[in-house]
Amino acid sequence: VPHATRQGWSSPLVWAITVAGLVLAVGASLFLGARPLSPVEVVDGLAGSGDTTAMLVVADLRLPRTLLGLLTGAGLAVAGAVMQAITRNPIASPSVLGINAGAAFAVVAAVDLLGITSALGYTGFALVGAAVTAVLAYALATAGGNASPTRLALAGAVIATMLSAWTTTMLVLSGQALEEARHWLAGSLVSRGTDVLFVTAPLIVLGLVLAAGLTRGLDALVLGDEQAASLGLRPTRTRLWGALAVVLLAGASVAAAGPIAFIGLVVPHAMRLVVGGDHGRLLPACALAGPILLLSADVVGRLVARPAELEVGIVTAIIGAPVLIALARRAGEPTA
Amino acid sequence: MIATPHRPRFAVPGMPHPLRTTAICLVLLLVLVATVVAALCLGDVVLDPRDVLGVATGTADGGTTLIVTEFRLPRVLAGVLAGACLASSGALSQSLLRNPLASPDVVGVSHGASAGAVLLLAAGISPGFVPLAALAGAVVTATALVLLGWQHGLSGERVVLIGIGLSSIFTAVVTWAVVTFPVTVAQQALLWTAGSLFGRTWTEVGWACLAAVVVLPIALVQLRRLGVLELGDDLARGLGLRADRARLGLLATAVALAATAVALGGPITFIALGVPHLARALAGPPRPITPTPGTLLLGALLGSVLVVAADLVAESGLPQPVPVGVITATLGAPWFCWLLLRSARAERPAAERRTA
Repeated sequence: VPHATRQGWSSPLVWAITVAGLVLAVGASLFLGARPLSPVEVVDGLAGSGDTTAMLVVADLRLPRTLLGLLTGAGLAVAGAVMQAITRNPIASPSVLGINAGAAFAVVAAVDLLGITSALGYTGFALVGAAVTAVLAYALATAGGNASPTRLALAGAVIATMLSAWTTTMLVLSGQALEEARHWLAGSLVSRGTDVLFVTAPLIVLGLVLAAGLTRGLDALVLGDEQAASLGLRPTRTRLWGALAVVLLAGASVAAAGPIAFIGLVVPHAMRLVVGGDHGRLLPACALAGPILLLSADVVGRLVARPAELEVGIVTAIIGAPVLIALARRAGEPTA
Repeated sequence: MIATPHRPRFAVPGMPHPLRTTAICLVLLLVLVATVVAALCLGDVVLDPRDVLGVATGTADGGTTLIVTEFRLPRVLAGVLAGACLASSGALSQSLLRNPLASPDVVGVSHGASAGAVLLLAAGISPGFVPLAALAGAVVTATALVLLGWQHGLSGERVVLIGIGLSSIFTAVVTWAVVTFPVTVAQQALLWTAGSLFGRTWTEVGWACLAAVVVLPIALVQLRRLGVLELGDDLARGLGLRADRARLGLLATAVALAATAVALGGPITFIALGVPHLARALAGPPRPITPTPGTLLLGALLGSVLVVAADLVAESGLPQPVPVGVITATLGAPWFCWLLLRSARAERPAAERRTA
């Protein structure tokens, strides 16, 4: 795997720039939006001393939205990095593995068949759907040997196709389910209440902690199972814990914000170019850069279609697909 | 053990037995006729097969004639055409990309067509133009696929990955339309993206029939080039064939077939992917990935039978009518999973040989 040997820069300057980027993205998410508010109004709104409109917009809409973006951005990006290491596969990511389609299917089934409309209900069903699909696709791709990038992509794609066909059928047959679920389906950071944050935040934090504990094991996995075993690490155990971290991170993120494509694919690749393949540096870099990309995409979505909004999942797909294509083209270049 | 892959002794691939292929084609033709008659008889109003045959001879009563000729026949013919075109397109693209898992719906052509159709519906233009928009979407996708995937020729693996990238852009477009427009428009758009033969008219079927009649013979003529390409670019050049130009022509044919089918019935999943495999299995050893004229016809007939039968189940076999694409996806996905598992098993001994 080429990226394993790649040395990156890890000077304090790189980290300072990344943190500054995050602060900027958070600032943009708080200060920019469909309703133009002056910086003073926003600060007043945050402090709880402004007029009611500004306070409503800032404290009830923009602040929860920004927090959700921070959490899910970090969750998806770190999930992607862990997944790429445990599958030793550069195109593994939550959306490619069919996790998004699984969560979407579970949510639409819950809305349509069980009549569940509460934000918490969405979250629970999305989590279960995501976990089941991830396990299925991974098992299918790895059965009978190491998963090649194409086989992993196809396994995810075929499961996603079948589940999407069922999801579409339910939506076509029930206008009510469509009306209820379509904004969630597009992937959106628009807050659906703080209780969703309270449920998903601990799961994402737990997943981040788990991933942080796995950095050495992930480094070894990238070198290959035999070398990992010769270093005294247990590759299978690392892979299982890693998979659990992925399900927690990606499952909770998708549950909270809907199926958002490509953050988990694009951010780890970009950060590997910057800080190198060492997971001790890569995972924190992803946790910082994921929210930068997600919050920026969200702000772009708010601004391009004013006064309406473009859902963040649509913006990230349009940014992310060219990156996947570029990766495929680079992988196709003849190597030594 | 026994699972050694069939390899032709000489560079020229072996052919399935022509008599066997012909016999199976005849059987499939009979099955197709039976399925079509069944599809004409079954529905909200169940008709007697004798009455349906009476329509052909002009002896049936007016009501029966109306139901058969105006409602059921266009739909059934649309299924026949869509199935044949999808299956042929899949056979060509699998051979061309040298990848048994490549097909127009995996590499994004269907998603492009969906995006075109959905944008048109969202713009409020008459649904009569949807086939044209789908056609345009499919052509745009195929062009992008070739432009992006062309690096010293077309590699199957690269085209598949780029196709997955392209499909997610088009999926985003469809999602945008579904979120932005009123629920009724969104539902209409989603119905189209699921693959449905509901409400086809004679105009659409006529155009698709014309396209199929033109393109299918072109596909048959080009099969010989596929065989030459299989020998490698150098040998192909020695035989007077420009490899890249021949590949482009074949790809254009495969896309034209897929686009015809998608314009007619939406992206009906898994027919293009699965039917060529079934056709190879039916035609018997040595199962070359490059179709012979016989196996191409066999696949086309099989595709027609499957789509018409799936549409029959979708319309009359369930408590509530569903789009035909759901039936093919539900049956096709497990089949595809089995293919993946089998190809993994076939690859492993080869990998072990390399490391030894």
